[in-house]
Amino acid sequence: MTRAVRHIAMLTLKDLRIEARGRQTVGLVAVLAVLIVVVLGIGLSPGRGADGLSATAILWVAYLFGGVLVFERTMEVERHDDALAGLLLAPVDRGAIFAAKLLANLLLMFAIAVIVTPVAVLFFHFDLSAAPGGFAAVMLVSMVGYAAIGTLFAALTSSTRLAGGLLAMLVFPVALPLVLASTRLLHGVFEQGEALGGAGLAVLIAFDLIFLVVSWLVFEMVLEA
Amino acid sequence: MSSSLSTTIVRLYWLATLLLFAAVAWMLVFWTPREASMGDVQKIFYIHLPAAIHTFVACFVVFVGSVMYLLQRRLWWDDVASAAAKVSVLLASLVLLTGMVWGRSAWGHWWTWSPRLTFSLILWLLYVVYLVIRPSIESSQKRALISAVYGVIAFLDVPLVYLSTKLLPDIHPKEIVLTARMGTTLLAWFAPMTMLAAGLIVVSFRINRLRRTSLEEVETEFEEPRLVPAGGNA
Amino acid sequence: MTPTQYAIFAYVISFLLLGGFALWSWLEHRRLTRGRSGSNPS
Repeated sequence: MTRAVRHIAMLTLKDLRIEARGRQTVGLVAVLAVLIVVVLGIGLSPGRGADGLSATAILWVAYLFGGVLVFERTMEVERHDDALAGLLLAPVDRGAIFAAKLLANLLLMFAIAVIVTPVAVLFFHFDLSAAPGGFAAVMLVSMVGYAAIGTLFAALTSSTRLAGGLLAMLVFPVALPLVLASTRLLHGVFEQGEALGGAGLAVLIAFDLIFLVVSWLVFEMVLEA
Repeated sequence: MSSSLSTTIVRLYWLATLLLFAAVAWMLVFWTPREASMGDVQKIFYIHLPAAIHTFVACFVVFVGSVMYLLQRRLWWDDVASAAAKVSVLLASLVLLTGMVWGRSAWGHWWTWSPRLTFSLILWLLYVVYLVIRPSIESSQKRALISAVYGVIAFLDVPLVYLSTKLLPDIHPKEIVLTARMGTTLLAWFAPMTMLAAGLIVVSFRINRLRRTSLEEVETEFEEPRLVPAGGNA
Repeated sequence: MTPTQYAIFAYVISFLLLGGFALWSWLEHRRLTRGRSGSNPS
């Protein structure tokens, strides 16, 4: 168990170190996400000030596209010089490889969200004051499930010629229940003034668990072939 | 398909399906009573429900084919899964279209974001994506692998989609009181619809097989290396 | 349109869709089996 944890930490740190040494995924994706927010903001009558609900919708679009780019780039690292083949030969459990990739992807996505969300709030006067904590909790929990699916499909598609577009096509429809559930939960919070109950979050956490377990199982199957 | 006997059986099967369709259409028009509050538009239900049920059945076949491909890595299973995916998209389109017409008549809108409409739409999208991504992956092994993983995830996604759409406000008719004759007609409609769905899956599967054998020699030459290095099979 | 017309409309598009798919499958199947050098491989 501790060995697995050490492996996961080691592999995650490896990805983060590559990122820190100038691959600049975070910078690139954050700018793309800001661009998406701006495009949507221009379309949705600028200056009027959007409420918390449209904030959720706009940020989801940014996170979805940003996420795909993150998954793609962290997997691309492994394609260079057959790094993945080396990784598979190393005495590391395949589950640990998946967990490490997932963790790296999540941390990068969080970093991007930390940049993009305040920018969006600043630009469009999103009123998150009703439940800033609830907003953050719902978005963070949703991202876990999204990253699980994204990590799995990124490993599959990275060797195909259409990697990026294909990944987006595969991941978006599967992620729709997360988008739907999280926006409905936040609708209750911002429009109806309900408190974010444990039940609502529990649904999202259940989604996460299902996505995590299935992705982990399939990831092992796919790499072992 | 080689002998004339099996050709005869296939022809009889499709003839029976057609005749059954004619029979249930007759029942629908002349024998089934008109629903009081909604009028004739309620009769859409008799094709709507069997199509919806068989969409799930077809999705389940995709799931089984995908799991079996992941376990056995035989392209035969990929052909099963993709044939069923075609039929599930066809049936899901039917469910969506008939549902929209019904909604237009009953509530005055072609589309509302009600739980069941949203559910059908997402289900349709999930399997349309399955079909449209396939041609863009060149290697047949890779295509089968990605499709199989997607087929598994998409099927497991269906209950999640259902749960999440439950959070939407609902205006769908919750229960329709069926009279005895309505129930009989509904049951009767299942017969030709089941035969049609099964027949179409089999025909699509055969088309897939035929295409595969005519391409086989070309494809085996350009097979991509798998993810695992040579000899590294664990 | 009346409910009756909507119902007819729904059934017409349903059968166009189903029939179209069935017809396409049949033609495709026939094209693929005909193209195989006359003999029927089992």
